[in-house]
Amino acid sequence: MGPPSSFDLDVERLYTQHRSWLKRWLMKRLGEAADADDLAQDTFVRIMRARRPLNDVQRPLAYLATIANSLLINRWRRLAVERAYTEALAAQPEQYEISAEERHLLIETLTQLDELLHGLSPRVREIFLLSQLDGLTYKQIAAQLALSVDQVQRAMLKAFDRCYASQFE
Amino acid sequence: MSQAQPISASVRQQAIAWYSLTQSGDITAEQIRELERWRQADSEHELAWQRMVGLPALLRNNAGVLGDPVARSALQQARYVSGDRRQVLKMLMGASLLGAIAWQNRESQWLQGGLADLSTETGERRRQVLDDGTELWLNTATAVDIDFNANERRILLRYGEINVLTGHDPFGRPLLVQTDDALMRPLGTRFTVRCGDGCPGTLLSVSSGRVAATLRHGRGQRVIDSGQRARLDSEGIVVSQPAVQDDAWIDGFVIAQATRLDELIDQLGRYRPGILRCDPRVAGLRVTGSYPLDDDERILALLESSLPVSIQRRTRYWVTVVPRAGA
Repeated sequence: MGPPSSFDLDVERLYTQHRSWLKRWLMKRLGEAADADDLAQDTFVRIMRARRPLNDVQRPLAYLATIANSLLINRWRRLAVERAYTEALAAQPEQYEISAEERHLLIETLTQLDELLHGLSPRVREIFLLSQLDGLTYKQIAAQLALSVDQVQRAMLKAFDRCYASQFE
Repeated sequence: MSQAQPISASVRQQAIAWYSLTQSGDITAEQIRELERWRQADSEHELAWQRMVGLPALLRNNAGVLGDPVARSALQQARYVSGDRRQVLKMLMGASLLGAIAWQNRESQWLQGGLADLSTETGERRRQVLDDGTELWLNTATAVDIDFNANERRILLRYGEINVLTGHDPFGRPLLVQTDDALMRPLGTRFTVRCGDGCPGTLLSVSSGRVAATLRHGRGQRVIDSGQRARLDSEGIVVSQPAVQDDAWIDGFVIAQATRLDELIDQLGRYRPGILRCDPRVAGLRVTGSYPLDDDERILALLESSLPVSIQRRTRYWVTVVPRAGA
């Protein structure tokens, strides 16, 4: 590893100056110290990954809060996924064996996918998965779900649009 | 995850349409040649195309995970739903617990709501796809009339808040959104309109594309760009950059960024029946955070724990946020 870049130094300064502020900020929203610690850590990890030059960040606290906020949303998203997963599990006729660790990884992955499909209804998601995972043609999907091909097409356009937005906006 | 090079909304739409066609299982040899020509016509086309091709990778890389039917079903169903709470409210209303509470302004809304083509109750959010493919989200306590005829597609927002993702009309009819204050014409777009639920005038907030707005009383016409918010009333059109995401409610959130407490309380009040007030002495406190709309009791508890305020409940439907004693 070479000498620290100016970006690394900027992040370090941001971290020393504002970490405890960020923790307090997160504490207020979460009500739990341990979670706030984790999320504060994640916030800085995300800032390091984004590599957006920090010298043109005008309001560092607002910048931190924006990123921490998106992590909070992600957290709510994960809760929704977990709830859906628990419900799906309960609907299974047989007992289902899955370790806590496997479950954690699974929820993590599903949360990422959920972000990709942000805001799409269960019906559109179903159509999208039938096409993109199972490789069905639009006609086959229409037949299977008793829809018109036109409806399937519209759902696919919307799903692609949303995927695009979640990746590039 | 913004990328350096911007792609215009129309090229993006074309790329999506082309990509979707390649996935349909029904593309003709002639269409494939046409697609090649489209990609070569412009470097922006090609860039948009490359993005589309890369998109499903995340999904396909996780095909293994989704091979598990439980995981797949969870992904399909995962959403912030408001259904349960609504059931409870319905039950309570049936028991006419609300009779004693002052609901004057809501009464006329109920009447209007009953007559409107589409409407939602307090706390409810609903999505509707119109005949032309336009996607319409109705936020809490909203009533809308849909008037599609040979010349135009008109959405009349009587009160409340809607988010519109415009569909492409096969007959080329313009889409118009009308409120008491203004007539708005989107130019390929997603946007939110709110009026008549305690907010003066009409609020327009554009998340992608552009919307041309014309005042109905007084003069004024202006194109509102993506990322802008405008207040439209008889005084004129005032444009600002939105400080918060005006369409977060679609996902079941209200987002505050250094928002005044009374503004946040106003927002929350829209999602629950009865009266939710903020004492003027704490109105100016600032809050930041994302709050799930389906759990407003939790939000109140959070406010109470993070600010020098307490929640005073006269009845379940009359709640005031007041300064904490001794604070």
